Amino acid sequence: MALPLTPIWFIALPLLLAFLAPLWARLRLLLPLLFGAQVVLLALAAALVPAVRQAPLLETIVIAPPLGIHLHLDAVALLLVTLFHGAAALLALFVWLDEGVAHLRGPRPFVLLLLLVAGCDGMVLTGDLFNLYVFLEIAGVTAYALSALHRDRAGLEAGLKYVVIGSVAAVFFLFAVVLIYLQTGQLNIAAVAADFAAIPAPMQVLIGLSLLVGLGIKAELFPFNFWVPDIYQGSDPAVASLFSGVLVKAFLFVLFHLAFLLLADPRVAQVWLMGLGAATLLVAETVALRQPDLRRMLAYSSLGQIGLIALALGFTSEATTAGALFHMVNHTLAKLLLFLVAGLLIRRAASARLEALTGLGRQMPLAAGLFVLASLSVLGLPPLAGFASKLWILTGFAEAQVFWPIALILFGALLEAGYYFRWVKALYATGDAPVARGPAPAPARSAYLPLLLIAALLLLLGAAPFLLEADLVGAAQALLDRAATIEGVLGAQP
Amino acid sequence: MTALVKLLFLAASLSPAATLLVWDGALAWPLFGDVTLLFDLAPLSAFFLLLVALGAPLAAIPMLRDDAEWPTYALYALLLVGMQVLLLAGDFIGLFVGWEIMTWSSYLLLLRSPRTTLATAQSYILLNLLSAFALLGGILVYYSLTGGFAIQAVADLGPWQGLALIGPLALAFLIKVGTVPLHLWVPCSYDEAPDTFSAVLSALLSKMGIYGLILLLTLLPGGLAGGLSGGLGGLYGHLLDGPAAGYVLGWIGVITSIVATFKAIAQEDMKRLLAYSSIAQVGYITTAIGVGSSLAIGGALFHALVHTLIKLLLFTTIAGIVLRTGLRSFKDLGRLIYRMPISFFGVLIGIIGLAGMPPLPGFASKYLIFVSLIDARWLLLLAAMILSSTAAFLYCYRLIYAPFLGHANSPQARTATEAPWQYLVPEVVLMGLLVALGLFPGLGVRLFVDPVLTALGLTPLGSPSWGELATPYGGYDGVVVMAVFGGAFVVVTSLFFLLRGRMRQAASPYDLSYAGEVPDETTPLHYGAGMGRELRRIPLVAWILGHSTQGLYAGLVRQTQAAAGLLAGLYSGRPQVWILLAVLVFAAALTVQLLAGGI
Repeated sequence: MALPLTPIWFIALPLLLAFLAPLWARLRLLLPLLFGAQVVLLALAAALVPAVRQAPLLETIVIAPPLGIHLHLDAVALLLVTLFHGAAALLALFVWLDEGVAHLRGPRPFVLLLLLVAGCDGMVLTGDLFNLYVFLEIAGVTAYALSALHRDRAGLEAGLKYVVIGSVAAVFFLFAVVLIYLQTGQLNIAAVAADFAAIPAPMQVLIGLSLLVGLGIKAELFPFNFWVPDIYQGSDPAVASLFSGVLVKAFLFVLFHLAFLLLADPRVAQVWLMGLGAATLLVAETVALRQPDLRRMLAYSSLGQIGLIALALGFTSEATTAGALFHMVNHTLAKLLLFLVAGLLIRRAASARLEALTGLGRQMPLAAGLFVLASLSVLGLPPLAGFASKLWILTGFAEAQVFWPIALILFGALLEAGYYFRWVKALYATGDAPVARGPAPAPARSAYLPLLLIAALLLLLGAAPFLLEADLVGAAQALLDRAATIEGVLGAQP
Repeated sequence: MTALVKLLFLAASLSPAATLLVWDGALAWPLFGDVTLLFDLAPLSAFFLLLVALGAPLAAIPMLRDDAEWPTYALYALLLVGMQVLLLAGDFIGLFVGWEIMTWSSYLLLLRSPRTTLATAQSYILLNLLSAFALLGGILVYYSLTGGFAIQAVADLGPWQGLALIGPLALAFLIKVGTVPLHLWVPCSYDEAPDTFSAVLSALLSKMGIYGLILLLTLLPGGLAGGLSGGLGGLYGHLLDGPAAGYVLGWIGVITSIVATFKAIAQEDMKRLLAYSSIAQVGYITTAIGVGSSLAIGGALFHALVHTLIKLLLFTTIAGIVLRTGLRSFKDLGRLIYRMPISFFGVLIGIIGLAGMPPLPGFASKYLIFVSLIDARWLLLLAAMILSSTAAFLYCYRLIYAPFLGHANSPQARTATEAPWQYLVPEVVLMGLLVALGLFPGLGVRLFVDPVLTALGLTPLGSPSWGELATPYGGYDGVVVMAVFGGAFVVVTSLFFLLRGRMRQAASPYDLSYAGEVPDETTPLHYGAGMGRELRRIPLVAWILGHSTQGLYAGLVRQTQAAAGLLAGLYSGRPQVWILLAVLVFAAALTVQLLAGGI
C-alpha cells in the first residue's frame, strides 16, 4: 500500500511514534528512531517542495473548510517545517552520539521531544484557530515538562515558572479566540480573516491586543519576555537550543501570520510589531552585556535576534520579510550550535560562569572554535550565514529609504559584539585564574559530528545564499499575500 | 608534519603576490537578489595589493621561527584572504566582506598573544567593528542613492546627501587608520599583539584604511580628476587652493601626527613607541589625501609604500630584540650594537626613513606631501606638519640610542645574541628595498605611483630619470644624494677607525661617581630610559601627554554597563512581576489605542 505524501504525516508520525514509546524502549530503538523520524519527515518536506512551489497544499480533514478543519501547507509553512525537522534531526543526532546527556536519552524525553516538534508543526500548518490553540498547548505543555526534565532545583524551578507564564499566555490567546468566535461565528482562520473587518473597531483592538500579549509572551517579545532567561538557564542547554531554535520561531510565525491575515491593512500592526521588535532588540542586547552566566547570555542574545526578526517581519516589505525568514533559519542553526557547544563547555567546567570557563578554549579547541564560528554568524559577520540574512534585511530597509532600523540593527550588533567577544576572549585567556574542572571527561569525538554539520551549513549558506533564494522569496510572498491565502482556502470570493 | 604545515603557510603568504601577477579578468559571485560580488583589479587596488604582496611573505618568515601552532598560520592565511577580497572587490559588499574577514581574523590572531588583556581585545574588536558597521551604514546610504553596490562615482550629490554618504564612510576609514581621537585601539593592540604580528598590523592593516579614504574621494561626483571643481571641492567649496572639506581632513591628519609624535617620545616601551609613530606617519598620509591634488595623492601613495617597508623592518627588528632578550622596555636594554649589529643597521635604516631624512625614500614621500601643501597654499598645515616631523627625530633617536648604544642595563642585554636568520632575512631584504627606493625615487614614482594617478584621472608626476624626483617646485637626484651621504659616511667612519687606533680608552663608563657613590655594573646608567620626561615642561605638549582618550571610552563603557544593570532589574525572576507587567502593558495599550481611536 502506497502511503500518500501529505502534510498530515508531519503531525501524525511523531504522535504515533510517541504513543509506542514503551515498545521502542524495550527494543532499545529510542535514539535511532528519534533521529530517524526527523530525517524521514525532512525527506517528506523535501519531497513536497515541487508541489508546494506550484500551489499551496490544502489537506482537508473530514469536512471542507470553513466548517471543517484543514492543514494549510504553503511555501512559508514548508520552510518552517523543514527548518524544525532539520534542527530536531541535528539535535537528535547529537543526543544519540553524545553519551553525556543521560537524562535526554530515556523514553520520557523521547516522547516530549517528538510532541514538541509535532506541536510546532501543527501551529505552523493548521488553518483553524481552535486547533492552533490545541497545538499551542501541546507544544507549551511539552516545553514545560522538558525544562523540568533534569530534576534538580534549577530545572524544577524553571519548569514551574514556565507553567505559570505559559498559562497566562494561553489565557490571553484563548480569550482572543473566544472573542473572535463570538463576533464572527468562525474558527477557520481564512474565514475569520475575511470577516474580520466587519467586527466593530474597539473589539478589533481588544482582540488584536489579546493576541499580541498572548503570542508576545510566547514569542518572547519585550515587554513580555522577562521569563526567558530564567527558563533557558534552568533547562538543559540542548533543550534550550530547541526552545530558541524551534519553539520561538513557531510562535513568532503564528503571531505574524495572524497579524498579516486578519488585518486588511498590515500597517495598523506595523507600528506595534516594529516597535516591540526594536525594543526587544535594544533591551536584550544591552542587558546581555553584564551576564556572568553563559546560558543567560545566550538567552538574551536569542531575545535580541528575535527582536531583529520581528523588526524586519513587521516592516512587511518583501525583501525584509525574505531576509527575516532567512535570518530565522540562520539563527536557529547558530543558536543550536551555540547551545550545544555551551552544553559541552559547561559540562567540562561544571559551571556556566565566566570565570569557570576561562581558558577552556585551550583544552577544548574544537568546541571553542565552533563557539567562535557560531558567534560570528550570530553577529552577522561575513562569510557566515548570519551576514547574508542581515544584509538582506538591511538592503530591504535601504531600498525603502527607511534608515532608523538600519542604525538600530547595526548598533545592536555592536552591543552584541561587546558581550560575545568578552566570552571569546575568556575562552582563549591564559590567565592564572583558578579553574575548577568537573569530573566530566572530554566528550566523545563523534558528538562533534552534528556540530560540524551545523558549522558547514552556516558556511555554505553564508557563501551561497542564492541556494535558498527562490524558496525564501516564495515564502515571503506566501506570508504577505493575504488575498491569495484567503482565496486558496475559501475559493474565489464574490 | 610541522615542516609541511610551515611550507603550506609560506605558500599561503605568497598568495597575494600570486594574485597580483596572475589575476586577469573579472569574477562575479551572486549572493542573492541583485547583490553580486564583483572582483576585479583596478590600478589603485593593485598598488595596495602590491604592498600586501611585498609585506605578507616578509612578515611570514619570522613567524616560522615561532613555535606557533597551526591556528596562527590558518588565521594569518585567512587574514590575507580577507585583504585580497577587500582589494579585489569591485563592489561595496565584496569590500565589506573582505573588511570583516580581515577584522575578525586579526582579532583572533591578537588573542593568541598571552599578553593581550581583556581591555585591549575589547577595544580592538569594538572599535574595528564600529568601523565596519559605519562602513556598512555608508554602503547602505550609497545603495539607497544609486540603487547598486558597484563602486563608481555617484552622478549627482547634494551637500547633505554627500554628508550622509561621506560621514559614515570617513568614520569607518579613520578608525582603521587610527586618527585621534579614534586611535584608542592602536597602541595597546600593536603593543600586546604577538611580536611578529605587530608588523602586519602596522604595515598592512592600517593601509587598508588609506585605501578606503582614497576610494572615498573617487566616489564623489567628478572624483579626484575634477580637480578643485570635483570631489570634496565640488561638494563643499574650496579654501585657498584646496578643497575646504579636505582642509578639515588635513587638520585631522596633522593633529593626529602631532599628538602621536609627542606620545611616542614619551613611551617607555619599544613597541608602543612604534605604534604611536605608526599613527603619526599615517596621519601625514591622511593630510595628503585631504589635499587631494596629484602631488598629494602621489605623496600619499609613496609614503604608504615607504611606511609599509619601514614598519615591517622596524617591528621585525624589535621583535628580534624581544625574542633574544625577553625585554621590551628601553630602560632594560642598551649596548646591543656589539651583540646584534645587523639589527642595529635595520633600526638605523628604519629610523632614517621614519624621520624622513635624505637619502632614504621617506624623504622623497614627505617632500611630495610638503610640496603639495605649498601648492594648495595651506601653509599653516605645512608648519604644523613640519613641527611634528621634526619632533619625530626625538623618538627616532631614542629608538636607536636606548637599545643599541650606551650601557647595557640588564643581564639579558649583556648576553643577547644576534636575531635568528628568520628575522634577519626579511630585515636585509627590506633594508635593500629601502636603499634602492632611496637611490631611485624617480623609478618608484614611475613604476608604482604614476599608473595609479593616471587611472584616477590625475596628472602623473613623471620623472626625467630613474634617480630623479621632480616636482614643479624643484626636485632632487636620489643617486647624487645617496652618493654624497654614502661618501660622507665612509669618510667619517674610516677617520674614526683610523684615529681610534691611536686613542687610548681613557675611562670605563663606571669611572664616575656622584653623591659619594661609585656605580657598579648593576646601577642603571642609561639616559635613554628617562628621555622625553623634560617634554612635560612645554605647555601644549604637557597637555597632550597628560591627557588620553581612555577616560572617554571608559566612561562610555561605564554608562553602558550601568544601563545594562538598570535594565537587568526588569528580568527579576519573579513570575508575579512578569504577569503584572504583561497585564499592565495590556491595559495601558488598550487604553491608549481606544483613546487614540476616538471611541
